[in-house]
Amino acid sequence: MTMKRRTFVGLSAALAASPFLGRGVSGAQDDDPIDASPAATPGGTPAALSADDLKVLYGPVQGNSAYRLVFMQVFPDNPFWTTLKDAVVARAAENGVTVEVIALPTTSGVAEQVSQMENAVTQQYDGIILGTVDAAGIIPGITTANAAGIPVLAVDTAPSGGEIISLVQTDNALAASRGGDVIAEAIGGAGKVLNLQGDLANLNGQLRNEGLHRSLEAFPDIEIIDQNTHWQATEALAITENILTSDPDLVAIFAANDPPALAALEVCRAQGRDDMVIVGFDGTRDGLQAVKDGGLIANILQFPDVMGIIGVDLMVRHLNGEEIPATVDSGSGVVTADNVDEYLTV
Amino acid sequence: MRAVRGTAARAVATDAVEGLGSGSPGRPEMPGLPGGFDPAPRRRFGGVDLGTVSQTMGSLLSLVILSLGIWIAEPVFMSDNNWINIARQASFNAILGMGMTFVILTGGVDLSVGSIVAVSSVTGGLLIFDYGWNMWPAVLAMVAAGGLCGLFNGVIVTLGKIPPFIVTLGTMQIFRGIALQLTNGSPRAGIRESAPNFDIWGTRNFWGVPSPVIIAAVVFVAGYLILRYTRLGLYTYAIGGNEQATRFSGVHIDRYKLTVYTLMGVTAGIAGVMITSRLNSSQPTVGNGAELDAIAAVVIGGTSLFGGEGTIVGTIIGALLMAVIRNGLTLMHVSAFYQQIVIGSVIILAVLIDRLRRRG
Repeated sequence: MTMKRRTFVGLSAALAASPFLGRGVSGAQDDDPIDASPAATPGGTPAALSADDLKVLYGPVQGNSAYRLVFMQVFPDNPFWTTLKDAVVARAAENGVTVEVIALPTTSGVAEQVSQMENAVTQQYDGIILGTVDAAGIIPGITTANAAGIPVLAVDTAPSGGEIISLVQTDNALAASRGGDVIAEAIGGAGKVLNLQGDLANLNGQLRNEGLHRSLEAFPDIEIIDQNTHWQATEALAITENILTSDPDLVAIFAANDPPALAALEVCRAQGRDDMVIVGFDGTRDGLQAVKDGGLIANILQFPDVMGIIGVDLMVRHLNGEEIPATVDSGSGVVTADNVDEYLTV
Repeated sequence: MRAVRGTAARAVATDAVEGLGSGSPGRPEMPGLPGGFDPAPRRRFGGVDLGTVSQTMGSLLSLVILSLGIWIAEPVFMSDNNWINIARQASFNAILGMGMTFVILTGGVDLSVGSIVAVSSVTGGLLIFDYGWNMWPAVLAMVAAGGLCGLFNGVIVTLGKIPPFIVTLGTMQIFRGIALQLTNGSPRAGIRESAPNFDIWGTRNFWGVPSPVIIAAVVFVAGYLILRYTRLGLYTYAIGGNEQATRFSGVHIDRYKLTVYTLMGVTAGIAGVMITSRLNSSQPTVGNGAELDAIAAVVIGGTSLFGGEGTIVGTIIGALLMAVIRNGLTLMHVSAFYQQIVIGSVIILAVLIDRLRRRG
C-alpha cells in the first residue's frame, strides 16, 4: 500500500472536517490521523444526521474547464453501484464536467477491468474515478494511469497498490459493528446469531464480517454462526432454513448485504418466526421498505450517492489544482423504524 | 467420440443378437430402422434395463449412505421438517436438471439456463409492477419468456450449426444482459403484495408438501413420460447416441433439437417463477451459476455428457444428493468453502464410480 490509510470516522468526524474545506485539508488530516478502530469511535448517532450535509462537504464545485472524467463501474446489477453511478453522472453535470461510465460486466473479472482502464488511459481522459472488483488485481491498471499522469480516485474499495489521489469509502467494519450493536441490544446480549456473510474473497465482505465479530464477541453469551451467501439471496434461503432446523433457538440474523437479509426474512415469515431480529446492510429501497414494514429491525446504510458525489467533487478540485484529503469516510448510518422515512423518500 | 453402447447401428445389432425384437413395450418404432430401436440397449431382464437400473441404484445408494452419515453427526437431519427443507431446496436444481437432462442426452449442453431464470424473474417483475398484470397471465408470460430464450438457443444451434456449448456460452451473457438492462440492475421486492397469490409457486404448502416440490414432481412426470413413451423421447436418446445415423434414418433431427432446447427454456422459466415466488421479489441476478449446479445434478445422476445415455430419475437423485450435502454441512455449521470442496469431490467421485462400474 503506497498510501497510508486514514479514515474519518462516522458522519460526525466527516462533518468536523468541513471547516478545512479546499486547500490544506489533507494537511490537517496528515497531522491528525484518526484510527478506524472502534475504541476510537465514540459511538455517535450518525443515524440522527442527514447524508445531505456530506453531499455539500466538498461541492458542488465548478471545474476550471470541461474536464472529461471516466467512471469505472463494477457490479452494474447491484443497486448500490447503480445509485453510485447515477450520483456520479448527476454530480458531473452539476460541476460542469463530462463523465463516461465504463461498466464491468458482473461475469467478467479484474483482468477485463485492467483492460478497460488501459483503454481509458489511451483515450486520455482527465481523471479516472475507480470502483474495482479486486483491490490487488487492479494495480496494473492504476500504474498504467499513473505512468500516463492521469489521476485516479478510488471509491468504495481501496486498491492495495498504485498511486491514488484520494479514497472515498464507507468504513465497512465500523458500519457492520454498528449492526452488531443493534443486534446485541435487541437480544439482550445473549443468544445465537446467524451471520450471513458476503463473499469473503472480497475485501468489503471480510471487513463486514470482522466488524460484526468485533461487536458481538464482546458478549460472551452470544454465539455467532458464520455462513457464506456469496452475496446471493438464493443461497441465503437454504442457509436460513437449514440453520433454523439445526438451531431452532436462533434469535437474530445479520446479513452483509440486503438481498440475503430479505431472503432470510421470507424464510422466517414462512416458518412463523416473526420474532427474529434481522439486520440488513446496504439500505437498498427494498431493504428500507422492510424496515418500515417491521420485517427488519434495522438496516445499515451506506451512502453510495455521497460516495459518488464526493468522488466527483474531489476529482474536480484536484484537477483545479487544489489539495484534497487522502481518505474520506462517506459515512454510514443505522436506519430503524424511527428514522426510515427520511431515507425512503427517494 | 464416445465408445460406449447406444449408437443406433449397434443398437440394431444388439437387439438382433438378444432376439428381443421390437424393443421395450410402449416405445414407438423408429422409421427406417428394422426391428425397432431402443436408446439404451443393454443387458435386459423382462424389459427392464439393468444397466440403467444399477446406475440409478448406485447414486441412490450414495444418497442413502451419505444421509446416514449426516444423521449420525447431526440427528436433527432426519426430522420430517428437515426433509421437507431438503426437498424444497433440491427442487429448483431438479427442475433445471430435468430440462438439462434432455439437452445433455442429445449430446448438447445449455450454459444459459441460469440467465434464462433471471429473464423469467425479471419478466414477471416488469409485468406485475410496471404493467399491473395479474398473477396468472404474468406466470404464463414468465414461462413463455423462458421458452423463447430456449427456442432462440435451439434456432442458433440447428440453423447456425454452432456447437451448443458456444451458442449457450454466448446467450448466457446475452440473456443476463437483457435481464440487467430491463431492470437497470435493481431487484423489485413485494411480488405477492402486488400480484395476490403469487406465493402459491414458492412459499406455500399444499397437503403438507411445499409447492416447489409439487412443481418439480409435475415436471418429473411430464419429463419421464416424454422420454419413455414419445417419439421426442426416443429421438432425444437417438440423436445423442449417434446423430449421423439418426439423421440418415430420415429423422428431422433439427426439429427435435429445437424442441429440446425450447423445453429446457420452459423448465428454466418455471424455475424462474418458483424462485421469484420464494424470494418474493424479481431479481436480475438470480440463477447465477445455476447452470453448473444443474449440469452437476445430471452428471451425478449418471447421464453421459456425450449424450445418448441417462435417466431423469438419476437427475432427481443427483439434485437430492447435492441438496443433502449442502443441507447437512450447513446443519453442522461447516463453512461454505468446505461445502464447495465436498460437492466438487462428489461430482468427480460419481463419474469415477460409474466409469469403474462399466469396466467391471
